[in-house]
Amino acid sequence: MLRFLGRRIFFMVLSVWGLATAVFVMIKIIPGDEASVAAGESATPEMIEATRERLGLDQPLPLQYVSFLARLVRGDLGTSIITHQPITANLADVLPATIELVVSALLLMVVIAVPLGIIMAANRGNAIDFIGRVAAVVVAGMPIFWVAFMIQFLVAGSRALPTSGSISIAYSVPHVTGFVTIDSLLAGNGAAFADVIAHLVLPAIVLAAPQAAVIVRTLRASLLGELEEDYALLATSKGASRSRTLLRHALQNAAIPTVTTIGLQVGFMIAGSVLVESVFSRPGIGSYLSSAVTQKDTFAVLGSVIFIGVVVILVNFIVDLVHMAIDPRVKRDTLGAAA
Amino acid sequence: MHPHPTRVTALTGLALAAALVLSGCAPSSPGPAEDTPTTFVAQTSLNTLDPLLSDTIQNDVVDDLLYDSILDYDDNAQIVPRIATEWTVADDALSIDLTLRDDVVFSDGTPLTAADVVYSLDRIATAGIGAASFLTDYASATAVDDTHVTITLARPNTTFLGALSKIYVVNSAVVEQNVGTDNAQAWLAANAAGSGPYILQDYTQATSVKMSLNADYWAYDADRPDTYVLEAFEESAGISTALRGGSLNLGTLPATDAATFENNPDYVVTDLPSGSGSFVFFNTKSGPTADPKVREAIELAYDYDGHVKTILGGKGTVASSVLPDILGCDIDMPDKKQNVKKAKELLAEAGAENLTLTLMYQPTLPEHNAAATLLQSNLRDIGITLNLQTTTFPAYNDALKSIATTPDLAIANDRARYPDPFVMLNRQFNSAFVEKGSNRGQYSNPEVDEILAEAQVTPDAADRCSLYQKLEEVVAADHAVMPLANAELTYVSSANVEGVQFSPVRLVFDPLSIRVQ
Repeated sequence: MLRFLGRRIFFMVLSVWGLATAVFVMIKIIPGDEASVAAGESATPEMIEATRERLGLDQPLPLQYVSFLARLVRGDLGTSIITHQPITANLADVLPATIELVVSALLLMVVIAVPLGIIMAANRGNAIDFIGRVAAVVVAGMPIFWVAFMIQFLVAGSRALPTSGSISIAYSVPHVTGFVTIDSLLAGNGAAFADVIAHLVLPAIVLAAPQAAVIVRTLRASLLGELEEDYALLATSKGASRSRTLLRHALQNAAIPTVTTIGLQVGFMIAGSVLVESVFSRPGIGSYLSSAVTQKDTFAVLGSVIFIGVVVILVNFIVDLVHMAIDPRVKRDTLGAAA
Repeated sequence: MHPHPTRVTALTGLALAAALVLSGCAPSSPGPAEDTPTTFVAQTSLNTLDPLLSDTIQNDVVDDLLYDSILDYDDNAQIVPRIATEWTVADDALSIDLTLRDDVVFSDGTPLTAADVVYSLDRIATAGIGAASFLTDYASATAVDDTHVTITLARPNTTFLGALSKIYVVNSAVVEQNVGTDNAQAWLAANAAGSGPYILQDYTQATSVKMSLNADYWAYDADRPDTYVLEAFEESAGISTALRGGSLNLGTLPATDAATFENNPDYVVTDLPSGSGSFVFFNTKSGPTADPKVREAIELAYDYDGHVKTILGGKGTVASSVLPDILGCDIDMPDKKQNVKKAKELLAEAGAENLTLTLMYQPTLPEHNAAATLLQSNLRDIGITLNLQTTTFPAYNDALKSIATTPDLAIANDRARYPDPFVMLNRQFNSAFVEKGSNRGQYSNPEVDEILAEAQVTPDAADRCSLYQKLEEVVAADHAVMPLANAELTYVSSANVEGVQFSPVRLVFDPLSIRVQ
């Protein structure tokens, strides 16, 4: 097990290094002068040169790269050239909002997709199954930004749900944890909590919808495969009802690829949050990254991409551990390979 | 084998229904209660709250609400008092004496004094970024007493006074407590230490800033919105939706999007100057465009009316001079008209037929994108092949560091950060800025340099204006640059919002004139 963990951690570090290097190279290749951006729109040539020196951008590229990696090892993602705040602090400020959105979307995805997948498998070949499959293909194929704009447009007129922000202006919640949902509860402000949830509904639906379609199809296919297995036929022949066979026996095994897929969806959701948060004007890592790109804040872009990359790598690692925990065959094969 | 679907469907249907109920457990109306005081929400983009970076328009708007600038401009682009009530520029233009109000207090109740003004000027000059670009001739400042400051300049500059409209005064004691190693830049990015008409309530990085009316403001006006919110939107579709959804009171939209609000009584559509002009900058030092006749031919080939009508949708005017109308001092030039015949004759005179030129432009700017194609088409009519080369603003700036890499032509915008023509004219035409980035045409003319130097030491505003007009005539005769159009910005506001008017110093809507009924 230790050898397995060691190998995985080594490859994770390698992945982060590869990502960091790729992003660093891209930032340097893209035309444009970081010192000009940092010095300001109307900076004089003297101001730009002074800024270049202060930021170490006058150093040779290899030296800048080494310095960048050294900072990265210390967990320092650098300083935003626009806000002049540490990027780590900026990300820490906006991370709770993204976690709230991604967790909400994940919950919504699981709660909607799993029952739908089961219903479709149970009704294989029926109208429900057909409609569900067509709907899943359509939803999975819709661009997320288009879905976001359409939902915003449809809901805006009725004003049934908020279409931007994370909390209404009427409410002020003291910052304690940074999670507005938790902070509103800690403040004992039920109305603010309901308002925060209302603000989460549309972005969470948009973020969850395409991923839910994937889960529906994965679960349905897995369930149908399991129902053809000998153990399922045996259970039925021993008198188990069809629904019991599906829910108690087939679902357990079909859950393994589904859980793996759900884990992988977290990465897609974090990437999707860049669009969703921007469209719904919600705070979060996505809107921070989007703003950094717009403002040409190269250090913030660099830091944000690395941060998102690290999160995705960690989530994949956790998914592998969960996969091992729920499927002894995977555990045996993986640990056997590591040994 | 297929399980019986009825029970499974019933169970999972129940779970699905529960999920949908949970997802919709929020109140059907998310808006505030009816007795909520007036609130105004405007769309902007947000970088930082630090007044050090007031050179960026969006920062300037926030700073105008949270801080007081030393001086201000009125709607007619004339300098008016703010913190300073009186000012005197020395005859040698080497110093400025300011008299300050004695009734200004910061949001923590501390009185604003001359020491705070000196601290604010020094902080910006030391940081050497952002608003420091307005203080290039600043040497030092001295607090004579609590209400008097003397600013000393490194060289004579009568135009320095206008720059004080971009210098916001910070509470020196509070900033000093949080100074850190970065001149308090990290702290002031998300906190405020000002004396402005609004007090910071909440700031979410890059997303929104919420402010409440400052009851102790020296120019308190109860008619201003009680709560003022600036919210960042990345997409115009999001702005439209937020306006329709009632969560936004004011936003800028492309003319085509704004047109959908035109006949709706719940909204008001207002066109305001953008304060910005679009130009074609020639490489006046190298290549075919170094010949003034070629430059004039290109000017004559362009369809200016088409630019305004088609590209700007009628929201703007043909630029008659290098200075946008809002700055004043522009010369009365004849209407610019396309004249293909004369353009061809000029090219023949210059022996420059069948030219191939390169135009650099930023495709992310719709006006530039369309103007590049229009110019390409127009130049084809006079026998010039125009190759279009897309770029980004930083990359274009890089290219301007050398005459050799400066493109034959480039489309870019320019504007004066505060309404003094010297700002634009000096940057664009002073030979000291050749190969430095701001003189985009790499233009040099000793006569122009002399006029600029004279303007800098001419104390009388009217005399300076005459000098600017003389300079405009010289550069127009040289065909140094090709002004295209002065675009307007289209604002859509909810019907209960009043006072959406242009601010020549903020270069967007005037944030302090807004009222909500």
